[in-house]
Amino acid sequence: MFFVLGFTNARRNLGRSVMAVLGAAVAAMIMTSIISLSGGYPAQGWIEARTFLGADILVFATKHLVGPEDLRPDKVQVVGGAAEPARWAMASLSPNVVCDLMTLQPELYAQGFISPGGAGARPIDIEDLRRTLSGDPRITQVVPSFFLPIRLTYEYVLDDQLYHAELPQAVLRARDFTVQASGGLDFGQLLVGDSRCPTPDEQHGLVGLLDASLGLLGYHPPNPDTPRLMVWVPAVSIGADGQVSYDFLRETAYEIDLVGQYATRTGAVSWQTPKGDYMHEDLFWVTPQLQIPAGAFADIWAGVSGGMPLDHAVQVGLRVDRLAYVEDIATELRRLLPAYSVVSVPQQMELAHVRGLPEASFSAPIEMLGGTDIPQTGLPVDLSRTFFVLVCLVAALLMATNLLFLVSERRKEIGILKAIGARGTDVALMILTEALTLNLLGTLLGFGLIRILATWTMISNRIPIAEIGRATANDFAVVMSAAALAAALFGMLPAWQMARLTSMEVLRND
Amino acid sequence: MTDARRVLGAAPNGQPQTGPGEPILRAVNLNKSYFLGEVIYAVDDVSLAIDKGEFIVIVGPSGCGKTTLLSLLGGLDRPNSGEVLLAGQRYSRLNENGLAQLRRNQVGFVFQFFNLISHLTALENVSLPLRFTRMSRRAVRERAEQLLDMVGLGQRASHLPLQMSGGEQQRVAIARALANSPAVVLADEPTGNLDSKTKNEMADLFLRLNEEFNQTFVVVSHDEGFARFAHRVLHMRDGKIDKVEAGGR
Repeated sequence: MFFVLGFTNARRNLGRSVMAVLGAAVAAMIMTSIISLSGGYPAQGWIEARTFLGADILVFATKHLVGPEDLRPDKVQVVGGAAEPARWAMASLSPNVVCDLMTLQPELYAQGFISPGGAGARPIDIEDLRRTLSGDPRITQVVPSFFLPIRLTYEYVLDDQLYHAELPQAVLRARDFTVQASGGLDFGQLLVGDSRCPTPDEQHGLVGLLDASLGLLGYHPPNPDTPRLMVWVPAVSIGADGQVSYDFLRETAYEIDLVGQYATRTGAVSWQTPKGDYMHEDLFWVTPQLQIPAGAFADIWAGVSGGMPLDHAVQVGLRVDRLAYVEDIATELRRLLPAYSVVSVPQQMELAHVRGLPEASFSAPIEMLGGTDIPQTGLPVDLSRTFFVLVCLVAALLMATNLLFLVSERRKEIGILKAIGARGTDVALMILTEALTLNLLGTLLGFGLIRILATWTMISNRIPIAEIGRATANDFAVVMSAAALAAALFGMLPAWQMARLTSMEVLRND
Repeated sequence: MTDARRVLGAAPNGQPQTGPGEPILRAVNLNKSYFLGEVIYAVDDVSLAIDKGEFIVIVGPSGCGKTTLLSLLGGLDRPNSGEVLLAGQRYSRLNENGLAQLRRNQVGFVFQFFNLISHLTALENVSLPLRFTRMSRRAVRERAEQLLDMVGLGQRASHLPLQMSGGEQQRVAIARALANSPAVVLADEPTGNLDSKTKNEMADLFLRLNEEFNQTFVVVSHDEGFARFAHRVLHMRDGKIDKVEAGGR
């Protein structure tokens, strides 16, 4: 009976109910927004991991919240002054940090998100893009990425036998080795063992660095005594429609001297053995790519493209001043440059995180890789959960205020009901019914409104419908549960207060 | 004129005198005080007994404790000391749920400001006490319609309180008070908010219900119309019953 009364009350007091529903909707919108649109970077992310995503244009942030370990002056330039150890601070990555726009996020690649360098890619005129973006002060740097799909062959020795290996889908990448750390990331520090960087004198030399993690792809490392690689580069052409194509039937072979190997650390795993020993392993990206000096790359490009200038890139990274601008800029660019795929790196990282994708990484004992000091700047701490909790609290307080308002409006009614024989529990049940009904209706409304926007964003990022559905179901469960919990928790207090109220208290005052 | 057989204020032995039959409602040495800067004795050692079918009117100046006494008799409030018995049930032995059940089944309230639930229709307001019971929805509706017919509002069943006059609202409140065939109806200034014509109509309605259905009434009122129909008129002053007169019947 009191359920019915609660519903009747909500229906008949339409104005008040609508206000309560709207209040709950606003709370739900806040919660849904923080879940749907502002996930932020996942915890334990790393700069290189961030930039391993693929698309025509990647948008990512320059300034991040970094931890004490990352505040060493040789790693970052702290905005507004020198780094202070053992404190969190807003820091700006040096523009010298290498921006490695790679294509090796296999799951995303398999889903069709990533196609830089592949057939059908539409090269971007770098200068034209710079001009287009020059008016936007939020974009701090345009970072073109030059690479070519290649076939790689080499020799290695096993049990005194000489074998030939072939990587049919490797990547040849241009790297400016003249950039050395001066407050930024030093590429040289990624080197493994006795490796060395190509020197500035070798800018046009056919020398290179190979990823140390080839073994993880099932390849035996090249023979250290004959560290020479054969690189088979397809002929490159850009069609009238502006699309780049790679012709592997017309390959040109180049011989590259391997001067070393590099490893890109993405994180670390620590654990304790049953004996109580603490163990530690670093995690690394598996990146079957060969990095060569930018000058040498330009020479090879000219050779395989019939002399085309290297003023187009199939992938460009955009450094954005602040994380908060990333989504806005990505959205604007999608509208501005409809022919290109634009990926917001934070969103992609969050997506990968939500999917529980395994890192494209492997673990290797440190001693195998020549030391632990592989400096990479840590990514910002994931504050999304903190914000989520805070926002949920705000939303819950909003709901609580609604409920208190609803209940205080009904004191007289409750006094009357108690006078004619309603028990305290009946009254509490009625209030909770009404509170839950209005809150859940409002939450449904708020979730729906925001989720439509979020879904639009996800679709525009070419996220599969099934994935959107799954994420929506998850988020719906979270938001509705949080709303129901908040309504029940915060409805309990006024319901309890009203249940204890005596008719005389109300009717005498009225 | 005091009827000592029926009412005893502050009897030395603490026992109220009762009427010839077994009283339906008894109060024994009731006390209720509040602390508002100083102790206020709203009800001061009041004892009384009311028979089934009696029409009692309580009169007295403002603040003399009439409403407090009514709330104690109806189980809306608890006394500091003393006892109330309704149809043999001792209030002091009932917990809050027990008191709620007693109010639900044995007591009908009529208030000065009607106290109808504004978002419910006349029929729904009258149905409310019935819906606490195990009656079927259909039976509840039929009973509520009968009650509304009885108070002359059969045609106004679907109207909200705000769509009715003060007199009509009070009739709905009376129908609601009678819904569960209570042992006693307690009315607190039921005509205090009505014009003189409606006051007379209301007093007639109370009289009719008392005569036709032998319904027991305890009415707090200044209205002489009620005193004319009362069996006894109790005069209160400073929390005590200081005079009892025979009513006009």
